[in-house]
Amino acid sequence: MEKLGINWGLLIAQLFNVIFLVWLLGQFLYKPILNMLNERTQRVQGSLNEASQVKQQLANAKKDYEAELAKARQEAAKIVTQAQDRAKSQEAEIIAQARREADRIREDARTTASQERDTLLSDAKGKIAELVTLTATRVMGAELQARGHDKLIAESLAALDRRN
Amino acid sequence: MRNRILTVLGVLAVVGAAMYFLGIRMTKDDLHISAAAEPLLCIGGKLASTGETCASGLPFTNALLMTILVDVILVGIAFGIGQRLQAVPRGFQNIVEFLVEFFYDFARGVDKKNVGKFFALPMTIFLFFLFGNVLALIPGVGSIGTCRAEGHVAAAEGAHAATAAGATTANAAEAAAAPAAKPLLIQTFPAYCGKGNLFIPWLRAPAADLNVTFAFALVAVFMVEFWGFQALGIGYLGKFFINPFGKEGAIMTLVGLIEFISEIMRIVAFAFRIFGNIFGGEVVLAVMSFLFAYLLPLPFYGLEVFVAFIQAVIFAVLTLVFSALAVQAHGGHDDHGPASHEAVAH
Repeated sequence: MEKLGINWGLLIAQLFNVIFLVWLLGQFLYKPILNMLNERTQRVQGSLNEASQVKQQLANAKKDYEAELAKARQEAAKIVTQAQDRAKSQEAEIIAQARREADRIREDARTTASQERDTLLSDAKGKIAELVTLTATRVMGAELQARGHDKLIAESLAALDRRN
Repeated sequence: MRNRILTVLGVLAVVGAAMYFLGIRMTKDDLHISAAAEPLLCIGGKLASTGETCASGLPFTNALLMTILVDVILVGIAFGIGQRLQAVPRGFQNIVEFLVEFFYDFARGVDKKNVGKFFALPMTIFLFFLFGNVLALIPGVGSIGTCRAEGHVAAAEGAHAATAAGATTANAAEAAAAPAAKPLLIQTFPAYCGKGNLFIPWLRAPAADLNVTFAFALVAVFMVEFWGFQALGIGYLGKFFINPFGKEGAIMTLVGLIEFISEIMRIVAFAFRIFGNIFGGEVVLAVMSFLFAYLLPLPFYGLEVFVAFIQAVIFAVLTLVFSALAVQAHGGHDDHGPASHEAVAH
């Protein structure tokens, strides 16, 4: 023992040293380092997860956006078609109405014209009869009896009528 | 590059040989090998007459000084790095983290369930012996020190010096004439003490002192047995004491008893394995320096660096493996037990 240098005092001192070192290093070196390593692993894992999540979200957003865009485009096309349809039907209606109006106006005008012509004709008939009577009276003289000529006047007027 | 190295080595060999034949070399008197760590002081006591040990009091040995140095470094790392960890590691923190993580991953491979419980002990063993062994290889650790009068002068000296450092100068006669020793730290360099004087290095590898290795071995084996009992209760003893009339048979009883003995002998095995390797390495370096101090120790230095690392690993890993084995329930596969691991380690 002596030759090998084993000394009880030293041995006990070294035992305390070992226990002290194990406790102290365990508490103040390994524990924090392992915690830090663990934390770092988790943080890196979390970051990677987050990144893939964000990527996923981005892809989703893009998909949503495209879907929305397509929908909007469709909507727009639909609206345009609708508007075109409505415009067409309105146009047709307007044209039909205009045509009807035109027909009505023409009809009115025609009626008025024929009425006026009738009026004019009957006026003219009266005038002509008068004129004929006047002229005949002038030509034939006073002797001609008014009643004897009534038949003649009626005949002339009938002839006029026919010529028209 | 290769040529340049060879040229440098050749020049050094020639210069070394020239210096050797000019007489600049170690003599037999300078070759001092002691299996025991040499006391620098005897706290509360005095040196023995040989000058190599303390007659009384607690010897403050060079290995103890080195132990304190390694402790200071490790505690410094714990508070300088462990308490100031950065999320983004930088510089020395990387190295410490690497060491801890490397060993933690290994320990997890050995025993995933109990790694948290076991980890601190083998890791500390690894770090302590790694730092102690590698620092001990720094030139000067075993070669800077004190000269002390050898032999019988201490009788005269002891009468005067209560806490005698025993540091004296050139020769024994002078030491006897002037017992009031010179201050410890003012000594000769290099380590040529002359005839009749002992050379006492100030520092010595911790693993080259049996007190250190026994302390670690005792704690390691005690913790292994403690964990065994903690995990298996009194049934832990069932690993060693097997009923010869049970189903396992009488041979297993014998095997169990052998294992019980080997369990106890582990203390000695642990202590002497690392002591033998490190102390033996120092002796080899000393002898090589004695034979031819120029270039010859170089390859052995490389070997010693390797041994310093490997012995620290072996002590730590064996502690870990024994712990893992101790907490396992008795499975009847004793031929894969601790004995075979121990055989591998030697």
